[in-house]
Amino acid sequence: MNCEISQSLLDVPAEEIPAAARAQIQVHLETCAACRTAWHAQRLLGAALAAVPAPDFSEVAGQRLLARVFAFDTRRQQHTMVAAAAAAVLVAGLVTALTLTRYTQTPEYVFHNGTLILQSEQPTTVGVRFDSGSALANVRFTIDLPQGMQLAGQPGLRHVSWVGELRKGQNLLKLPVVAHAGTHGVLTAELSQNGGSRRFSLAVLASQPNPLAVRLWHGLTHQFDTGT
Amino acid sequence: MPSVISFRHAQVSPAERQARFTAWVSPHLQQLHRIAWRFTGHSQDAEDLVQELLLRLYRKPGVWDKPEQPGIWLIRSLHNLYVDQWRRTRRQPLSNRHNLDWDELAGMADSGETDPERLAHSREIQRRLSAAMSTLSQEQRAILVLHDMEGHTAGELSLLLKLPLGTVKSRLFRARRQVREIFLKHGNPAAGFYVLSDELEAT
Ligand SMILES: [Zn+2]
Repeated sequence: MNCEISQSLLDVPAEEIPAAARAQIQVHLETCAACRTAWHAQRLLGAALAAVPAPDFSEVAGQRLLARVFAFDTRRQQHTMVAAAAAAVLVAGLVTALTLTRYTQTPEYVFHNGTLILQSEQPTTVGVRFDSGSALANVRFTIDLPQGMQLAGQPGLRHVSWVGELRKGQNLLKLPVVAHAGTHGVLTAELSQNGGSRRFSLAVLASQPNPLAVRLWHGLTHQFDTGT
Repeated sequence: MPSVISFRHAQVSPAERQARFTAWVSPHLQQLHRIAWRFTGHSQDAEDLVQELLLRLYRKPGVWDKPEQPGIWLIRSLHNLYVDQWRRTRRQPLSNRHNLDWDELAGMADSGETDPERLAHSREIQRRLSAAMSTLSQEQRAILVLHDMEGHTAGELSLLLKLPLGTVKSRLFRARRQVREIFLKHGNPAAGFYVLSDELEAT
């Protein structure tokens, strides 16, 4: 081992230096004052890095920090709501269409003669498209599923409502649902804003999980991309 | 491409959402703050950095409600935020402001100490270290902090940060070299002691 190699290894983390090389450094240091000094310094540096104290951060400080995060978030939401009130537009006149849409390569459901047909007991994500004439904030979305159908992974949950926004143009809602065999009913989606609302309905049918139905289901997929 | 409407957490009230987020992140706050403090070198900057991280996360509910290993995930996010987004502009240029904070916390006063483990705590050594570290890029500094202060190996950091091992190593090598060079600029602080053999053995 020479000085150049010895000192180039100063940049290498200790755990990365092979044991054999360490032994050679050791031997070299016994006769080389310059390297000894360099390695002393490296050791001090390593110790100094490890000795940098950890600052105190109490539970109370943590709670304060989280409170600031939540306050920031709320402030931002309020801005959005003010903007929506100023615009004072009614969703009723602007959301013109609800369309079922396919957004994956493999269709998991079909839309036939105005009816959404699902395979029963198969968790399925239905794409529901809302077309809006303008951007709308603070819109309340309410979805009601028919008897026998529920949100996937949420046993028994047939009603969901939240406040969100619509962009101008096409807006896609990915709705994960699962329907029991024999389900037939109506899915409704209601959008409301500033007292105005628009309601869409969609007939839903769950097919029996038998081979014929599956074949039929596949046969129908080519008729898919229609509907209002 | 239509815009995507999100309805996740639709049925969750704001209070419930805050409670969930608090429960999710609280066990990791102290560690996050410590690492942020070591990244930025300053208490206020550390709080700002953690706050910025949490605010971003909180606004993306889909991200934090499926915690695989939240600790690791949070450290990676903190690292990425610090390296990619954190602007140094809010910090005063390499002034004493940076050093003061370390000074406050540096333990022992200088006293002709020669044992490196004890000398390492001295005010002078910590001040030198602080000055040397403040010359690093954020990428280099973050890696050095996680490796030499938090005790992760290069291999662990590669997994933790999802960075190629070669990238971790090269940042680490450059950081170590630069810090050492600046650390030694004003004379070798290690000149006063010599205990070496156990060092290489122990590592
Ligand atoms: Zn030498």
